Amino acid sequence: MDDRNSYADLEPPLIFGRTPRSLHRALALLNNSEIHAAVESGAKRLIQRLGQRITPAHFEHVFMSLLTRLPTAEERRSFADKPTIEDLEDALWAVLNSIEFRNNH
Amino acid sequence: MNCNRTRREFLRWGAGTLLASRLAPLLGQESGARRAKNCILLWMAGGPSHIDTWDPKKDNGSFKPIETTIRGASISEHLPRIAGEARRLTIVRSMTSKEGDHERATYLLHTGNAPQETSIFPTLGSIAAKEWPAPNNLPPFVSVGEVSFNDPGFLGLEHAPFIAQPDDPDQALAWPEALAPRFKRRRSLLDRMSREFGRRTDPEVVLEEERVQERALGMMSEKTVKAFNLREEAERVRAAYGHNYFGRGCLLARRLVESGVRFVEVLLDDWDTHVEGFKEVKRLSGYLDPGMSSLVRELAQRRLLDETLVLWMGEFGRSSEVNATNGRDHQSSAFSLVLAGGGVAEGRVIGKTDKTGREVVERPVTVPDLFASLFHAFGFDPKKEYMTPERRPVKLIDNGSVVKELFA
Repeated sequence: MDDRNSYADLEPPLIFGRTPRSLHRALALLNNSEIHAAVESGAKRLIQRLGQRITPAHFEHVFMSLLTRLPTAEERRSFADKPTIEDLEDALWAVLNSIEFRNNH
Repeated sequence: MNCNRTRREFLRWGAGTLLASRLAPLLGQESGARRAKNCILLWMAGGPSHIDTWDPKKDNGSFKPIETTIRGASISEHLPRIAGEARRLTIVRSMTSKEGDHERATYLLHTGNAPQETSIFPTLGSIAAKEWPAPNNLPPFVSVGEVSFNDPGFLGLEHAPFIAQPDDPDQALAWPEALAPRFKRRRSLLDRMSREFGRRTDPEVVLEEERVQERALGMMSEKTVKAFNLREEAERVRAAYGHNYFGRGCLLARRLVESGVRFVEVLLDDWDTHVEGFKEVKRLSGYLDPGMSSLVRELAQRRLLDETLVLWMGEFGRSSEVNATNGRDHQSSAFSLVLAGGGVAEGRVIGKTDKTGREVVERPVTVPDLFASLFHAFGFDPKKEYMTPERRPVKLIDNGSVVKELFA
């Protein structure tokens, strides 16, 4: 990551509020600049690890690391045929904001 | 499964509204009756001195009384602009309660109930969030500043306040320009994931979270960003409200209500004036006077006052005696509060305290009476039963009687 402070330095309550499942927290997860930055750097790191050419394995890695499961057939259908890093970022953002991630993990 | 649920919900909702519109005339809720649709609560944390604001006394160490636009009613000399708008207000000088502790009294004045072991009752704004629908691009209940009790209780976190700071209006609401083309795609990915998750888990959990997330997504719109942005106002208007936290909060409250937020609570803290109380109350009056008077005047000018109830209160009043540190201590036996708009009578003073301000001598009003009156003004059914998470049916308020003088 660039010269940005680490997430741990940012006092998460300041960004996400003290109340889980609140509107404030939902909003922060969807749209706080720290989240957008984390999604970008996360996708970059995946590429470093799994290779520049983006494959289904990249997406599977997102699901496994955040939800500890592989994507369902239905979810696989939303991956693009020739995915770009932007598609990977979009998937990462969606998994991070999924109610499944927020409840079970 | 989800689909059926939604349809069931829809049908239930549909039948409910249909019946409500048929029954309304029978219940005396004709559409012509004036009912509040919004509420702005000005919360004076710490227990404001009634004697040094709304109920001044001669020879009691208090400030000089000045005349108001209510005939025969005087208030503190440090509230001159409010004195000019007083004909729009009703001052209740005979509030009384038994809770003289900040935490317990704050809970009481926000819920209408004394604290108890079994359940946390919802704060007034959360009740409004539950009972008054708001457009999906706005939070129904906004709190400007963090009030020490702001719990939605058994109504659930969906009805918790959205806490806004008037000094930092952007709230990270605007979706970044650079990501604009990808917003739609991300939403559809998210929807697909929710559908998948809903198939495998308790749909109740998913539904509540989905509603919260749906509202958050809706709030990331230009319209909402605008509603929160005080820079949209002319400098002349901002100056009239006062360049301070409370003044900006009052202006934000007006903007939010105009946009469709139903309940706004604005915090003015530091009323716990045990030490150098007169200096402190004078300072706080300097924030209160421009903020509250501008709010009431502008709501009236914009024809919003009839449908918006403005309520000024704190958790209790302060002692008639001045203590050794030149301040006043807690007093719940007699204190004042102020209402305006929302169908409440105008230019009236209800109740009276003795010449020291210690006891109510005329028309005592209890906190349950206040809540019965607010429910009446808001059109909330006091007999309606809610379910606690332990599946215990409870009513939100009990035992209070509507203060008729507030309405007739």
